[in-house]
Amino acid sequence: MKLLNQSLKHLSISMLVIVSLWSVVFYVVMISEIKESIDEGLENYKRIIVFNATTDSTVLSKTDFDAANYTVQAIGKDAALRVKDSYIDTIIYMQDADDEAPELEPVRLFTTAFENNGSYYQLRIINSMMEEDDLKEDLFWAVLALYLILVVSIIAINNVLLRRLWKPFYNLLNQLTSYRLGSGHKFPTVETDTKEFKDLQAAVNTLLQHGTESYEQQKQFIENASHELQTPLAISINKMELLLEKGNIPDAEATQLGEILESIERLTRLNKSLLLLSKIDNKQYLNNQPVTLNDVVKQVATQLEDLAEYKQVSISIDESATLIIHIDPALANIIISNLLKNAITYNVQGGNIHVVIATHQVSVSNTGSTEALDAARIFNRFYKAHNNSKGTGLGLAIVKAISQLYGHTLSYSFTEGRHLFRIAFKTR
Amino acid sequence: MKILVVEDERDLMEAIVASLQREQYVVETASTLTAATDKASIYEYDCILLDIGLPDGSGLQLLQELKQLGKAENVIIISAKDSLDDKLTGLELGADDYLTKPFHIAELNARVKAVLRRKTLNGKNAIELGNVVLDLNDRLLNVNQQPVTLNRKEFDVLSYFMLNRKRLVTKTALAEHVWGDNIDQADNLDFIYYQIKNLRKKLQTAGAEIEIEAVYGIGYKLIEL
Amino acid sequence: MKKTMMMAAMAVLLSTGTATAQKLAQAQVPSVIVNSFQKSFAKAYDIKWEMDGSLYKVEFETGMLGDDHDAWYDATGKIVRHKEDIAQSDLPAKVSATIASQYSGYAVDDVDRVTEGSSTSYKVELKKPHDKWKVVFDSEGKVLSKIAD
Repeated sequence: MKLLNQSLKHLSISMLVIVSLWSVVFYVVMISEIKESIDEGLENYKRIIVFNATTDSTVLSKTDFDAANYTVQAIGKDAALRVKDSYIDTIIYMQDADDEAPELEPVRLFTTAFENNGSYYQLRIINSMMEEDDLKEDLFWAVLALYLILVVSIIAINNVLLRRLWKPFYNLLNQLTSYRLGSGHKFPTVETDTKEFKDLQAAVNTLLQHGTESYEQQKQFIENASHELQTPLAISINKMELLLEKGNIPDAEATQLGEILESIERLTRLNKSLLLLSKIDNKQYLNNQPVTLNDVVKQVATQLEDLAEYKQVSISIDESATLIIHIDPALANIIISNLLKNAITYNVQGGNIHVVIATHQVSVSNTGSTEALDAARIFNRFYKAHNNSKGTGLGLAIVKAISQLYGHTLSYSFTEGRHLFRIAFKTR
Repeated sequence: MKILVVEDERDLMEAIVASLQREQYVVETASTLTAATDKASIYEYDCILLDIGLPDGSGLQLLQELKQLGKAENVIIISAKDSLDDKLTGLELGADDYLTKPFHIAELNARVKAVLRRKTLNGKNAIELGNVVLDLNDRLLNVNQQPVTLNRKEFDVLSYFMLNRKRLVTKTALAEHVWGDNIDQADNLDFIYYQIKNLRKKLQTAGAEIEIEAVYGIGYKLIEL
Repeated sequence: MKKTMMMAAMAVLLSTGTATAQKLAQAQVPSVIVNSFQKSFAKAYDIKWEMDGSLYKVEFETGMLGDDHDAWYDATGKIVRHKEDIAQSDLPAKVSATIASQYSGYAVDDVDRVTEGSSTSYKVELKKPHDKWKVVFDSEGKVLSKIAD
């Protein structure tokens, strides 16, 4: 859930609670305020009536509420003296101007008693009240409208203000998402006055700085280490070759020496592959020029035909287009050679390899094991699908690294019993 | 034939010298740029094996001086760096060849032979052994003055053996030389056996006085019968 | 917080201790009394009711200057006693004359007019340094009682 929506959610819920509580308090206060005001009005009216009664005896004979809204009733002295001023909410039959027949209306009823010329009277005055249910309903709709306006306002504020406030954050996030260590891109920068975002940017950049430094050091280390290994490997191979050449070694020992030599040569291959990878990573292959991939495929296929023949694997090349790409020729050769060697090495006897050169892609499909390889790991360095393999486990990783270097897309799929490797070349 | 080996790694120098001495060359050594420059300016060498990374400077400096003296064409550069820049600079400065460490003794031997042959043969370029004559320019094999047909790879294999006669040629060295740099990454070199088997048969049928002999299952050796 | 609570407690003690009368809200006062009071003093404000024995006592103010009044009603709503603050100048001439003759040199501090039924008396506070009297006069200027204060 996005931060904007989270804050919207929390605000909406708390607003609902606040507005509801507020409306209850408001209702109670308003009702009591209204009653107070009505009661005051009733009392003032009472004073006038009581005062008038001293001079106007018709006041004392008023027994119906009708237009004047009060009744006066003579009562006994004892009863009169027990009366205390009271205000109550009640309902009486009344006929308002807009009513055809009398109907029950809520009223505020004020009861008091007074003395006039030695006689005692009970005075009752009424005042129409608004119906509380109507009031509640009106209030409910008003509160609901207020709530909706608040929510809409919050959404609007969220969308405009918060979006603008958080813009540097999302900007930074986007830049970080596409950032790759060692890509040589500039560190993410955002224009902002917000301290938190500035701090975030500084922290991120410090982290990236460290990351980039270690990445560069690591790349450089692998290259240096590989270089340093070349000379001792050369010494080992050459001395072993000379030793074997000298002869006079019993066969059993010679075979063991041969195995040692093979191991050293395997080590050499591994070292060369690592060196190649680190050179690709360090972008040391930049002798880019137009290379006709059709020629490369044919040339590599010729180089490998004896190996293929020995493994009884046939290679067919389908040139549906002439594919010219801009690449370092050595790397073009390595890509094709590694894909083809992979297809030959992990093929079955009597199998076949089909190379298709199309407008923007090259695909190499081959028969082989009947199960799909792990597409997620197949291009990883040192991943070996076959444990007994004497390969370096770097062949496909190198193809991947070269593809990445030039922005081409390398993919693997397994369909209809064939393993298919495809490079889709980036079109300019 | 007199060869100067410029290499600062003692063990590697020993191996190179031992290999060259088996070919009956006169071998001299230098382990610093200064020593190498001194020797190269005083004496004439038929071939100079030059390491680029020397403790007191780059072998390319010596190459520059040799170029000015017109002696650069005999130089084979040896480098731990398979760097394109070094290679291009070296070859631009007139070096004959460029060999990246680690290399096979057979490969070194073949390269040295090639340099020496170019220097002495003046255009005619054929290797003779017994009744076998291999014309490197026209890519023809004659046994007892009779032509024998070889395919391209068979010819390459045989010429490599002829340049390395009586020397051990490992399968890896042969594969790299004949089938290209990248074949060595294939984990199975057994296919070479079949190539050799065909070549042997052709040589035998033609009555050649040479034979390709297996050595401890690790490689082969060309011997005179 | 503690302090305010203590002060509140003290205020309650003081008010209950000094006031012998029981305070009443107007709604607790019989309507007949309230109406009688309101008829007599239509412009009264700051009204405070309390029980004073069997009588209902009402304290209130009138006029711009806030003249203090105390009125006592019986249970039937008849006014029994009415005490009001008046200015010295409102004293009847005879009372003023008596003060001038009998209490010359005293300053008139506070004047109340007390009406009980048909009789009216005047309660005057007379003051000299270190000498203070509460003297009640009838409307003829005769001294009814005097109490040293």
